[in-house]
Amino acid sequence: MSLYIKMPEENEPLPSLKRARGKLLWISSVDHKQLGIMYLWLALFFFIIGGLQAMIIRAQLSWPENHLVSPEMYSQIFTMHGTTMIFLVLMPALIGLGTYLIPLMIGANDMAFPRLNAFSFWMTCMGGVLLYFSFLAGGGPKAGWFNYPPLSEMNYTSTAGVDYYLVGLILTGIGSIGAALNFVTTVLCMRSPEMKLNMLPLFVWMMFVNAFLMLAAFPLLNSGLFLNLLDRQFDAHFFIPSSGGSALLWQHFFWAFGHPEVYILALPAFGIISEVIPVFSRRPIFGYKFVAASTVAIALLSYSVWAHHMFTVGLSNAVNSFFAISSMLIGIPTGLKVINWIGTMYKGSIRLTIPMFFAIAFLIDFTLGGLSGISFAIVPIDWQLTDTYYLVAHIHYVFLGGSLFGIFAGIYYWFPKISGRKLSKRLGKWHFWLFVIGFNLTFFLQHILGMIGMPRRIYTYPDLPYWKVLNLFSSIGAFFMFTGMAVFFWNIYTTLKKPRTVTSNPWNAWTLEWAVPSPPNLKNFVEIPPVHSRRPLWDLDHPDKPDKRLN
Amino acid sequence: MLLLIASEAFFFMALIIAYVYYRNFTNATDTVAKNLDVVKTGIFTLFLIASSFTLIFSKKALLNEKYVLYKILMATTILFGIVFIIGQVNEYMGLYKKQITLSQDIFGSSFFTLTGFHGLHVILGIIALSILFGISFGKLKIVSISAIQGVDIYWHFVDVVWLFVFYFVYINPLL
Amino acid sequence: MNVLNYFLDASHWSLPWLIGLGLVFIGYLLLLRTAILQKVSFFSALLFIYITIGSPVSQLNNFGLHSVIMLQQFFILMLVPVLILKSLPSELFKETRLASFNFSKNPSYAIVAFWIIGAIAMWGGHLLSAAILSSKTGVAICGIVVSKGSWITHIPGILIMGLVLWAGLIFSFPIFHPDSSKRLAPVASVIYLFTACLSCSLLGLYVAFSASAASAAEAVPFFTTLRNPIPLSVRTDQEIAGMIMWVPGCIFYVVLSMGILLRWYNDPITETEKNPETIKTSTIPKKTIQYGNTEQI
Repeated sequence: MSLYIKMPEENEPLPSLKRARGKLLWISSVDHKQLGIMYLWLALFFFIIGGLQAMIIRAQLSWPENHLVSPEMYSQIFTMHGTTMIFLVLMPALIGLGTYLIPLMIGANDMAFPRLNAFSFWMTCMGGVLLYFSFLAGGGPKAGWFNYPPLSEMNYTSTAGVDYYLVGLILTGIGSIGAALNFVTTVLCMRSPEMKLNMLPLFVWMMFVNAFLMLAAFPLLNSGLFLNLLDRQFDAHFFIPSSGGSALLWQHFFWAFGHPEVYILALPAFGIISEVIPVFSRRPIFGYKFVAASTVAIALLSYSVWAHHMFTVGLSNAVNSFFAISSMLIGIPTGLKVINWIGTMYKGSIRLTIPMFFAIAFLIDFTLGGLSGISFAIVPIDWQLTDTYYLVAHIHYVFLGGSLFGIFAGIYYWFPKISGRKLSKRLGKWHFWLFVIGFNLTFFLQHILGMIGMPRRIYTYPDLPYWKVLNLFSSIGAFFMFTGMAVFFWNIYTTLKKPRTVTSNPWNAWTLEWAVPSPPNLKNFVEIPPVHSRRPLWDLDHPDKPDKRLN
Repeated sequence: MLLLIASEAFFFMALIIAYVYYRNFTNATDTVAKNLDVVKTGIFTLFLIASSFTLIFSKKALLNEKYVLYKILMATTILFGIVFIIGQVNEYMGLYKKQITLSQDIFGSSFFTLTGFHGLHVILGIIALSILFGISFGKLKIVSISAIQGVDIYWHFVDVVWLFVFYFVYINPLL
Repeated sequence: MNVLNYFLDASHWSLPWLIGLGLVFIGYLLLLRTAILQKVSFFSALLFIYITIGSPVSQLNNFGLHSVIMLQQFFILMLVPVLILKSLPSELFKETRLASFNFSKNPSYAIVAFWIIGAIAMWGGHLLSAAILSSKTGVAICGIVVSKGSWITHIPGILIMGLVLWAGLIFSFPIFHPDSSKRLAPVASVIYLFTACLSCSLLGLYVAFSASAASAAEAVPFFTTLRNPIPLSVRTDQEIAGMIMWVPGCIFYVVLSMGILLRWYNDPITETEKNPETIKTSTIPKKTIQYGNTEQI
């Protein structure tokens, strides 16, 4: 077989699945756009599975003394729901958007290491497949998504599910590290020569900082996972207290990864929102430098807060207080960002498109999630409310209200660029309202459930006052979310069958990805537009009043 | 490559933290340390350090287009690396004979894990160096600059990590 | 006596140091021409030196309070050098050999050397302090045991402080070179500070978490004497020490990074562009574009 690789012509589109060897061209692709699309499809696929698991959980908890599934199965379902949603939905979706968009936004034709890009994607895929294979090999992992020992050790959980969890996450972790390496090198080395580092679009800057976070956090997870695997398979003694190990060490390792991980999931969403809000308020972002600098602050500080997940394990008061202080401090840069986003909208001319809807919902719901998080930084409150449904409410507010709404906003915003068709606004509104109402119904009530004492991960519960009605309404909310997602998938399906009619800049946005046709050709840029500010396309359209020149 | 090394540094840091934790923060006594032969391992450590130096000279030779010198020094580097691995394997076998294994107690576990992962990284480095050595005989007479720089940094990193591991595992118990 | 009285008692405040530092400040005002902000910065530096050496805080040091020693180290190694460097005029090093250090071009191995000096100062300073504390009190500190009355206690504390201050100045030099066009580029500066923060954190964690280990487990409130106004158990004292090193230390570095980044975004044309080869993937050198320097702070 010849080693000659034909260079893409200027107008050559991405290969269609229908042409000869089309599927092979996709599986073997190293083009960042194709890989980005595949990441997004992966995320969508696992979202359906994770969502169905969530529906089973809510169905099981709808009323007291329910026995829809067995306790065994329930443990597997909630573990897999958490693991899937975090590692196989949110991570791939955000990395996928980054893979697709970063080269386009900086004027590059591909990422720095295209084959590493493909390797990362397929590792993530492989990890997911391995994780789910566990169901066919004796049952899924059932020690919770953070897999605490001693429960996760061989003497308490002898099925192979936890081993599949460990190996699956090692593989996805390696994939993420590869993607992070690629992001940093691409942003540093492949920018348009005129684009300085302090002129980057905020999405790119946040993915860049995020990549450093990933590089530092995932090895900590991998080391913990390897040690647990050695414990289980080779009879080592790392986390087994009875033979001298320390179960607490796992918690330290996991949360030293876990806390940066939640910021890894949040920062790209912040980046998406920082792109969407200015475009649909028709104003440049308010205080670019504060948003960019506070991103670095969040990244650096995220390493000094992990023990706030461990306030109840018996660390001393001195240690607890310091972690409480640093946890409260880390709320400051995030709050600064929210002020900047609201400041961008102030006196702007708001276009209420679907991405903007989701951005506004993000502002409200992520702030709520952040507030409940700050309440957890107060140690006595944490002692009362940790591992209750208050915590479940908090994490869902930040993960769904934050990352997921950001992803929805990003998908609606960039769908025309990626596929050449705009998603239906009518169906988008149904999706939005069904999902947001359902989401708030489900999870707001869980704050109250937590405060009246319902612990998390319980299989069923007795008929205590208010527990039944709150859980029931929570489950009804879940049903709304389910319907909303069905509408969303229907929207995608029907839109993909329409012809490609979108121009290169349907939203009148200003960053470089809107300078290429929708969808972009295989070769992104034949010529890069001149870049002299943070809004190059604005400068091109308004030569009489360009932005302040930055290079 | 620097980024990958920074990332791997975190990984090894975590493993060393685990080891230090077991030694200094629990009441258990270290059963492995007194069975370790510091002098012998020290000699093998010198081989590893020497291999870093031969690699530096090999790279210099390549950049100065002295291909024969490059090949000789590269082969020496690989040889020293292999000697180090043989020393490690020897040590493992000796400990095994004394029934000190991964599953013996936490010190067995952490010792074998830490040195084992390091050894794995050395083996991967040897493979990379061998590839560099091998392709220099073929049609590609010149190894690309980025390839040798990347492998060079990686090999030095493996060396530095070993120095830290050697300090914490072998020297610290004697202090 | 309680804490308030302790701090208000004039005999605990050192007069010679007050006079000495006052003279230094007067000398600074007379000899160097600087902006108002720089004068404030130098004054603050001297104030912190006074707090560290001449105030009741240093008296508390005599009780062997680990947390107090840590606070002193934080001031001397991290805070004061930055303030001093910021207060120097940009032409100060033009005639000296230090002028040859231009960190905005391809950073040489000099950067690594500066960083290592800072790291050695931190780790070495702590080892030395632990040794001194151990020989003073006869207790093993973090596994370090030094016999009472060993030669270590005769090393004058002032010498150690001076060395630490000097090392702190060297460490902060690439980031806060008085001539701002010669400073390390912003993103590289953040990485420089972060890696130092990492090394600080490791030691701080070790100190904090070893507090509950065997050697400090005598929960006897060891340091409560008639004259020590701050009653703390050994364990809490050590934990606070470790956490001071870590949390305020890291926050300080984060604030510094924020300052560097905000300035970078503010005035992009007058800052020198750093060629994006901090992480080299090829040896092709890129030209740097040198713009004139304008700012002093």
